[in-house]
Amino acid sequence: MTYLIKSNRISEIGAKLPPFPRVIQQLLDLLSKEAASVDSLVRIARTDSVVSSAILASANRLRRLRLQPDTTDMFSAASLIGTNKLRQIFISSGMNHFLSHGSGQRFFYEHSLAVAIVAHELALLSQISTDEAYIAGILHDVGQLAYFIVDAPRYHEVHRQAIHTGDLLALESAGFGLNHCEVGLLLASYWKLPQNIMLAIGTHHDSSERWQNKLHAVINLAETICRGLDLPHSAHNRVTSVNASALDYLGLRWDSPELENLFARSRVRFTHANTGAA
Amino acid sequence: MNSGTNNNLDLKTEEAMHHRWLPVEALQPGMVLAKPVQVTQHGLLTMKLAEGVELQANTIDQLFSHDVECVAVKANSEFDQTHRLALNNAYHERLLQIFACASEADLPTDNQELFAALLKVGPQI
Repeated sequence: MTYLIKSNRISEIGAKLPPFPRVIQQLLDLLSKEAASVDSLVRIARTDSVVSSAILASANRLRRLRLQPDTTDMFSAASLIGTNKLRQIFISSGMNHFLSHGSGQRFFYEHSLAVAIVAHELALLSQISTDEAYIAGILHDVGQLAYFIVDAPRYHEVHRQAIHTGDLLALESAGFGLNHCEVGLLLASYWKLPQNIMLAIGTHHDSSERWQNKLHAVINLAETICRGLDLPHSAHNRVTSVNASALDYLGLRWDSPELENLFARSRVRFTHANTGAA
Repeated sequence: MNSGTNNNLDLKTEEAMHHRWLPVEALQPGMVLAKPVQVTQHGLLTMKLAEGVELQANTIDQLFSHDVECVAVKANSEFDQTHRLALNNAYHERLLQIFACASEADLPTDNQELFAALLKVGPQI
């Protein structure tokens, strides 16, 4: 029987997904209220063993470089690595479990991670919130999780067909009633994510020529750049259209040294992050 | 697919072959910066290192504490000319596959600049 995804069924689907990581909800909440301090981040980290371990591991790498003994003190470890690295550990560690278990697909998590890293780099050049960009990037394909819950074999078939026709969104709509951008928007609303991130998820495949928000243009471009950089490697990575208006909107140029560095940095960061997460 | 060698590729990616981007966690004292590092926080320049600076343990420490993700360090090519050309040609082929084109001449106008920029950055070594 064909199961069509509709907005009034999204809570039913959301309930079947792994619980949305509490550390991410808390981090988003914190970012909306204040600049996240080491102290406030440590309080959240102590509630999650995976995040705590990742923070200690990162700090101890640095302590070994200084020829200092390892620490098990969370506050000194967090102070050493700084709030930016802390936030990235929160997001990567929290989302790794959620996305990998929600889909059962390693590639799904790796693609999300790659888009998050490129979005973070684009955000640095575009002077927008790097945290928002990283979170929106890692969540941009979250709508696809619903298909794995509803009918995974059918979604694999949709994906197989899309490799040949190149029209993933139309095939998703035909197979499930809504494409993954539309489903992602509904799930983000169900999880009460910030409006800006919701819309970035909803517009990441848009071919719009009129952008009203830099974050949306960043996520849209990050998707294309990851395919172009073959991150993560997949025989099916294709770039068939480039949204030049998104690049113009961000005031960037493909032939600039900044973009050249962004490509190289993104590859290295992805390789490093993915090795660490594996 | 175009499988012929592209003589321009070696020139385009030669510069990229003389430095390596590394995450800060992988830096070692003695490595030499191939590109300058500038860190600004809240609009203020908080750290600046010039190209050619030899990294010490405390410099790496500072890069880490300033949230620098990765830096470019000087690297001698581990490959001879023939191997480099082969890597470049394989990378060119892969880009053509990704852009779904038999040759650069077939690229749609809108895609040409991104293709050229990715070609210039060269293969990941």
